[in-house]
Amino acid sequence: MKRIDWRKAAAFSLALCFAASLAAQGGAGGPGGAMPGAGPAPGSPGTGVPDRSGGTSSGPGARTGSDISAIESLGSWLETSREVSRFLSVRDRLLAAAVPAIEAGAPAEAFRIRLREAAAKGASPETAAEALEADAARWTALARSLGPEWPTASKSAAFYVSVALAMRNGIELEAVTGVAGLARSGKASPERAAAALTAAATLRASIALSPAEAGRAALAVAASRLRVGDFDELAGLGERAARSLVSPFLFLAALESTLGSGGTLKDLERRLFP
Amino acid sequence: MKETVRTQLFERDPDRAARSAEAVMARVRSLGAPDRAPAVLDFPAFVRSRLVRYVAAAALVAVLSSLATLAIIGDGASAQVRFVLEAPEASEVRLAADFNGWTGEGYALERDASGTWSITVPLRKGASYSYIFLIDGERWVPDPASRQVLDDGLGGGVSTISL
Repeated sequence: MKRIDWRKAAAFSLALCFAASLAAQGGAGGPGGAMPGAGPAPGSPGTGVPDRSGGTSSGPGARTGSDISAIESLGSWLETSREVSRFLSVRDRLLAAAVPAIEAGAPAEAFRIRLREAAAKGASPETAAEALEADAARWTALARSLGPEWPTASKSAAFYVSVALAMRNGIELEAVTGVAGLARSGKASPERAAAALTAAATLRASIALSPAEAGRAALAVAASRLRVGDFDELAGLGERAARSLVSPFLFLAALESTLGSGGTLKDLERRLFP
Repeated sequence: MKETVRTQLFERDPDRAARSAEAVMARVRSLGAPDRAPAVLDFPAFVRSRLVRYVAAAALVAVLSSLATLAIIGDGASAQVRFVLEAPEASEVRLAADFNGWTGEGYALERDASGTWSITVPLRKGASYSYIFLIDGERWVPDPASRQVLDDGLGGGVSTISL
């Protein structure tokens, strides 16, 4: 019996593994996943709403058939959904805010997520409208900056909602596009990019970074070798540095230098607190 | 007795049967060695073929590595996160979060004897999550134990957790 050429077998099996891992990723993260965070939030419409995934290549700004459909669907949902019936009085205002964002490429589902949050928290119609108008402005700018290709439709709404949270807490659009650029080039997933922006927003609050400094921190964190699970500890280091009267400037310099050279949180801690 | 049995088993005459068998065998021998007919499935050759061995080896490696990957995913890609709130005075606490549509439906915390409420939720690693506690269906409280409380734009705050 001839000997097996293990190199060829290994190459073949690598191809099979690659295909299997692609299939596994699709299965784990897709709608209907049992684990929270693996799919759309419970309570979201099972039928799905036309969003950027159905858009054409005409680019942001041009109203496409899917945009019109998404806007009409959102308007209908605002009118008929019991979840958000308390906001019926500001329906037109909400739609007026949503239209330019959706036309720019923002996912209509992001509006639903935020409105469900507002309804669940018992926000008044006025408060919800103000919040959604502010978010819509952020999403319009973001969608124009990112274009229609990224993030993919399945991750788009969650990304937009997370980015709105970060921007509301002091992260500038320039930093968001910088982090998104890193992610697009394959150095981070949309989830990691969003988490890095959230971490930078937290750092900004804990150690009083300026918006520009927080943006630099977001880029450093997104490009670092830290796991997303380390980001909370990083915020803890920021708090500790603030208590120890480490200046935002020094903190940021240490952060960029340490993480930029592939360092860990321990390295950063040693640098901040020798 | 022995003869009786033979008669029952072989109803033909044994001598005639033997002659007949020899005639058949002689005929077979006269045909010579058969030509090797093109095998539709020559099983030993099929098993020996290079492609089949490659596929078998590759499939074995792929299955083993996929099992290992699944084990890694099972253990490494998710985390059991325990959310805890000290609220002895509360009669109900729910966890409302971006991963459950902010309703808290199905995410009621359980109270222990000391008035500590908790719930354990499996969450995917590699992302950050926003959450808040809903006490008695009317009070929205960010996690006091969380460092990360951000403005939710709705007049309150949300806690965040990164996994």
